[in-house]
Amino acid sequence: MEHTKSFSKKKQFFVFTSAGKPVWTRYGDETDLTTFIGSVTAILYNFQQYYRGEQDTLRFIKTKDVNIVFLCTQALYYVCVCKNNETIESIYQQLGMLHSKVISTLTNNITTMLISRPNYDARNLMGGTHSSLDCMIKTTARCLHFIKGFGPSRMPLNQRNMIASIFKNNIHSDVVYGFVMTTNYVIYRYTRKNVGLHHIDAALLSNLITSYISLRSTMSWTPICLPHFSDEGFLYTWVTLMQESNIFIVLLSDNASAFKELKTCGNAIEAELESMKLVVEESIACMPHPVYTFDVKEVNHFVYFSKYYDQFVMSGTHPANFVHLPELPKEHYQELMIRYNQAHSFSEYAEYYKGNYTKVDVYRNELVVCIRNQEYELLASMSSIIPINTCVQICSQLCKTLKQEEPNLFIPK
Amino acid sequence: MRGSAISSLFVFNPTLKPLSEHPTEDEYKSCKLIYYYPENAPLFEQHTHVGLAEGMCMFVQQFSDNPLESIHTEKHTHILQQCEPNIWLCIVLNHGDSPSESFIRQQDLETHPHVLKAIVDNYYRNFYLFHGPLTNFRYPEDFPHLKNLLSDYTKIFDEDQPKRTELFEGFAYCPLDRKSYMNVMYGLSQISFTHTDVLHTMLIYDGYIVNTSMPQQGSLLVYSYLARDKNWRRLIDMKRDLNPNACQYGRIAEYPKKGFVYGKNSAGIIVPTVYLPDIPPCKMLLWVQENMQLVLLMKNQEVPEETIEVIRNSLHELCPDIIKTIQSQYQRVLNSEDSFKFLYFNNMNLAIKQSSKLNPIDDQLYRLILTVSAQMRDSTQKYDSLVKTIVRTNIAWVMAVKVLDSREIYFVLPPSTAPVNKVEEEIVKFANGYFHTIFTGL
Repeated sequence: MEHTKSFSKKKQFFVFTSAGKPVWTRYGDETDLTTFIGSVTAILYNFQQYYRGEQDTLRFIKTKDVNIVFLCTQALYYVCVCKNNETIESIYQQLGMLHSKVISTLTNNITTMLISRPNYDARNLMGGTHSSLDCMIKTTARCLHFIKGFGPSRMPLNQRNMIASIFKNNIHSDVVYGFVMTTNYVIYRYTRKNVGLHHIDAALLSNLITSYISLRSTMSWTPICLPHFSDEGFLYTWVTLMQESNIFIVLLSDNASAFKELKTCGNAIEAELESMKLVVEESIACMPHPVYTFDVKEVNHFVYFSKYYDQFVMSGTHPANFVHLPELPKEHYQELMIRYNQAHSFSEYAEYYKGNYTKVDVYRNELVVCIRNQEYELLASMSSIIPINTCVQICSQLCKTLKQEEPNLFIPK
Repeated sequence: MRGSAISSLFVFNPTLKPLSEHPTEDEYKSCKLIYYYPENAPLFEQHTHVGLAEGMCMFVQQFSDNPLESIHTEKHTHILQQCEPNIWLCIVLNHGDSPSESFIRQQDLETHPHVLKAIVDNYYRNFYLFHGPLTNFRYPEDFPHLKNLLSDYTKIFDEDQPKRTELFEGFAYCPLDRKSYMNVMYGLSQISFTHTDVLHTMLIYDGYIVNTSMPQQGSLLVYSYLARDKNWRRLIDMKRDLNPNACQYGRIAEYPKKGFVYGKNSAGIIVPTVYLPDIPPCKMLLWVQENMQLVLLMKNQEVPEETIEVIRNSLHELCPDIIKTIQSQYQRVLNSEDSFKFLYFNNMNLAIKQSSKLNPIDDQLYRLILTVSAQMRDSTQKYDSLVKTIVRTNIAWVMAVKVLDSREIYFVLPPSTAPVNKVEEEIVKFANGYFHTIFTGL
């Protein structure tokens, strides 16, 4: 049967309503999985009511080689059956992003509708989103779940300030967010005063640009819901791809009738950016960052997250970009993610972290460091033969370099 | 696992069928269920839980050839294990309500696969110790008796489970030098030589194992029951009456200053049959004298009173010397205080050494060390193994070292702002002195 083929996949996702109606599945046809989804819904219900008078929620199920993780929202349920070695937290994050993507496509009105009409068939509403959902899963799986930020491209501060000036000179009051970005990286972001940008919203926008090829062929006007801005309605996105380039200018407005204004604003920004196109392309071309560019020879890989900027930088690859430099083969990156998770894990419990945390894990073939404090989080990989005192010095030097380099690494607030 | 009470526990055999000619649906459901705790749970709930457990086992078969191990909800952890052919045991642990915005929960620090497995194994093995395999109980004639035994046993298990404080299942070895050890061995061999009915012996002094001739798993079972974590004191406090028809776990006579606990004593002749892995069922005698416990496993299924008296006379003669040999060494080591907090565990011979300063281990530190240990165990199964780790949290520094994949050593220092290399230096200095006979790789 078709569904048994999809069960043999290494990582399978199911989205369905609380009434057991399939909404989306990563592999196979939702229709073929109706019986299976029905049984999963029954399982979830039984565990919710396992003891009479007590409400509970199923989180995950384990066998020796499979983890099945559940995310239950008000009206939609998400399940992942994972046979590779990803951590439970990482899988849960992917489910969370799937949910964010569904809300991004339909707004939270889908929840209201499904609560009032539990038997509603929501499959058609998600039509055409398969590749974007799949892309979202792949990108999220490459992220560290505890890094709550996005990873911009590196650019000298003065050049980024020039882009900021261009935006400042041309922005329209209807614009909530403005971006100069590629499918993988954010180069510059503008936000309206007193409006923040949540990293999940940034990821959703990036996913939109990446997944819909049609946005690259012509100037587009498309709705998107950014749940952390507001999950009740859409923002309207004006997107254009600069000529002979892979640089997008993206403007978002909460005014559905602001197409003309955003078009004018966007064209003006594009015209002024034309003179900086080479500079911008240079900043993209140097991504991902080779580790040697940070002047610390002994480090094989690092991830640095600045809490002030809410942004991160990573060497060797980037979660949004599936390119791996020779210094970081893909298989090793997957192993390293698991090791970073392990190094970071204790600090996720309030009883063990009060603003200062260090962990050094020494494997036979690698040494992994995690430093977490109120300013930043650093995870680094080095050779296992490096003594701990040398490792401390290296990390200290790396942090110093990165701190100094922050204005060029990250987009200013 | 500390602190988590049992919400429910049940044993079932999905292959059992009702015996009546036209069984009802309820009869089908009831006959599968061998035992359910708590017994006052509504029948409907009991049947649902068994059905759900069966269903979950079948559900995961669609994705994995390996059996279902555990189910984690926000408030509970369900552990499922097939303990014998067609017999499943399910234990549901209650973690209480700890609302959290994030996915992780505090219980995740304690619900590692090996910890959950140990809980189920512990339940099963301690029942097995006194009553043998569940498959020995014939369906349906022996099942009411089995149910009574499980009922009696499970109540004790439920009270006992959250009080278990040890991190590792192993042996605390008695500190004896070579000469003293050989003297003790001589004494024990005299007993075995004189009494050919004695199949195996185990000698324990104040909760520390001195010697055992049993295979490792059997030794661990008996040692855990009688000695680990001073368990004999818990057994005495239980004050369970000596009912030969009830579950024998925890039913012991008062510990005399010198005499038999299992054997002939003021309560009569009590010689339980014990079932141990790799050994045929045998009778167990337990002789106590001062801080010593001497276990004798007898070959024969019957141990007459005369045999017990003959053994008593031998032990009167031989034990004082054994105790004297051990006592002087033991007191010397006991009175010395370790300068560091550490915990040592050897996965091969299951030796545990916990420094005097690390006793007792508070709950937060317990969870920390437990999770570090789980990370070290986990890594050997997947990638290149984790051999050393140093972690600073706000409650302590912990450094763990794994030596030759079998030994784990944990060092604990108070929290401080010292850099990690300074902490490591301090620990290495201590370790190179204290563990000088072991290659630690430090």
